[in-house]
Amino acid sequence: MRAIHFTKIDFLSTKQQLKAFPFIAALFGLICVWQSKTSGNESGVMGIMVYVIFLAITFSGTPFGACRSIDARFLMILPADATSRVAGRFLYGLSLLGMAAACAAVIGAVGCAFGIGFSAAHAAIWLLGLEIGVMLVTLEYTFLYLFGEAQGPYMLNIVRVVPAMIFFFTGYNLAGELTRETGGALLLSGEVVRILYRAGACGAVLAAALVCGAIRLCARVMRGRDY
Amino acid sequence: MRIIISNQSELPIYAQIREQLKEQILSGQIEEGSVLPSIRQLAKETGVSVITTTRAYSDLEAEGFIATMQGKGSVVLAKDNSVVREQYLMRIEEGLTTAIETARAMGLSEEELTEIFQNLLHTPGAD
Amino acid sequence: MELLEVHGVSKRYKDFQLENIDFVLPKGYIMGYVGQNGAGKSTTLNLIVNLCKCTEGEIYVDGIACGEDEIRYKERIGYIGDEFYYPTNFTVRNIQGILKSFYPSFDEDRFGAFLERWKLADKMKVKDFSRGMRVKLMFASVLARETKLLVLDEATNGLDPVARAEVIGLMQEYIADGERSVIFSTHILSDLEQIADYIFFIDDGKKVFCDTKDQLLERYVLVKGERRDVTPQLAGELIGIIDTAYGFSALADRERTGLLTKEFLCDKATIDEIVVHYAQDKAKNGRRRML
Repeated sequence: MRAIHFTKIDFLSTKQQLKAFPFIAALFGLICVWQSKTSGNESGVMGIMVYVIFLAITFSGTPFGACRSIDARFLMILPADATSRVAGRFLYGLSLLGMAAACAAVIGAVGCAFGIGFSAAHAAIWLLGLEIGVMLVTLEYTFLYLFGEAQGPYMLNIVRVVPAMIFFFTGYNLAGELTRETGGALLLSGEVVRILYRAGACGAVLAAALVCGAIRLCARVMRGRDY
Repeated sequence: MRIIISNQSELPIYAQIREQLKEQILSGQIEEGSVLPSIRQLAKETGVSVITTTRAYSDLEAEGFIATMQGKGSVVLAKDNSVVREQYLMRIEEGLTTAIETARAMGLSEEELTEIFQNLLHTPGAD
Repeated sequence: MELLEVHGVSKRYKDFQLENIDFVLPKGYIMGYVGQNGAGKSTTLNLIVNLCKCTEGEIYVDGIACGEDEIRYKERIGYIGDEFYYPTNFTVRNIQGILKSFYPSFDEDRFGAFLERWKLADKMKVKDFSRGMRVKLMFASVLARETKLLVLDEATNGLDPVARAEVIGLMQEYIADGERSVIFSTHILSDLEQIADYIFFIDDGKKVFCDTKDQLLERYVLVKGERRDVTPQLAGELIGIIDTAYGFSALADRERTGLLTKEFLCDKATIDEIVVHYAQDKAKNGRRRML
């Protein structure tokens, strides 16, 4: 329960930076839609998700920047245990990914209105993208908790940007490859869709397990750490 | 009741409180049987630490000026108490000693001193 | 009944060690934590509020150890640090909302009364507050809920004399019912000296003195005079002689002032003066003396 209050604090303290989030998401999402429409292939549809998840990963590191030393004291004097504090932060990252997914859905809907095809395979790929996003944010947070806070802003920026970049480029290239090779026909095969969904389900379980494990690990480390 | 604490005074703060309370009890400004403010109250009002105030009260109690009763607070005792009488006698002696010393210093004879004493004693309204 | 118990606490850093700090603070009293910069004052207070973790030893607040029940432990403590700890892009109202969600005993009316009294506009962002206003905001947020122990780390720095006097009054009010206690560290001793019941004097991470303030002030006198009147025998009794252009001042044990002749002036020592002469003594003799 207290974890949610910590999430609230994170949202409040990063409000300023987050304001830009929906605008950037909308802008680039619409570029993707437009690109997809003009080029006639489907990489744009997948690009939407890739892009918003990339954004979410980039933004997810903000509280670590905003809450350096003094703010960390504020969080630590509040009556709660380390697990709530850490879980609150993870919840913040997950909420951002949720927001990203919502943005993607809206942009996707707009795209559909403009006549872009959206298949079951696309939905599965979007889900997979989200799950990979969750895992990356989890790894990023774990890294920041374990090593990041002592490293200063320089390290912080690298850790924030690297996973987002990896996600962005591999995601985008993969989407491009998939559609270029087969012209999108592959995604219409029932077998491929089934595999994608199975992967999605496995990914969900894996991501959930990873998040829980990471929270427990980080909480244990933070419990013994000075502010 | 009136307590004024001086930082310049030779006396430590607890002694200042003690002496001022004693003064007022002896002069009747604080009536016997009246209840003094609690230690914590007095500490708060005078801006002095609780331990310092406690010390002043326990000194007064030891000298027989007040008695602290559980739940009732500190009560000013009656003045005919032998300890208080002792205090009075000490003060009288102190005052007279000063007079005698001054008289000796200026070479006043014993008769002259007794005369002054007698005169003062019979002057109405003399302090 | 003890409200704060610190048992054999040590904290080791690479370049500083806090060693075997041991004291208790009973309910209803105020303790001043005194020492030079870097002596370990903040470290000790950080350990009490669990911002830092002890390398060794235990701390209990109202009988609870932090490891036992972190939530109840922290609810009992009101901490005000030397630096403002609320995120500066928050408004007063944001902070109020957060405190309300974390502390069941947080009283919005009481908080509002403090804001009004100190003219802190609740729609304003905290970053537009002056240092004094920020300190007041921290006090308001701590005093608006039920706590047992106030931990004030250089908290009155940056307050004007009027506000300081007000804070001192609030601290006395806080302990008036005999159930709650205050521990504070400060550089500006003069105004807090009067209300402190206990003094813990720390130097270089180790205890120098811990007893009632009256005990400390009664034990030492400030001796002033001319240097040429000081016999070698007397010099051995004087602690931390500080020479000025026209004389010297030093500390002396009240019970060992037999050697002092009429040439010397004996004065009451303030805690500030005791700390200064102690430091002088250490600098000159290269050893720590227990007071």
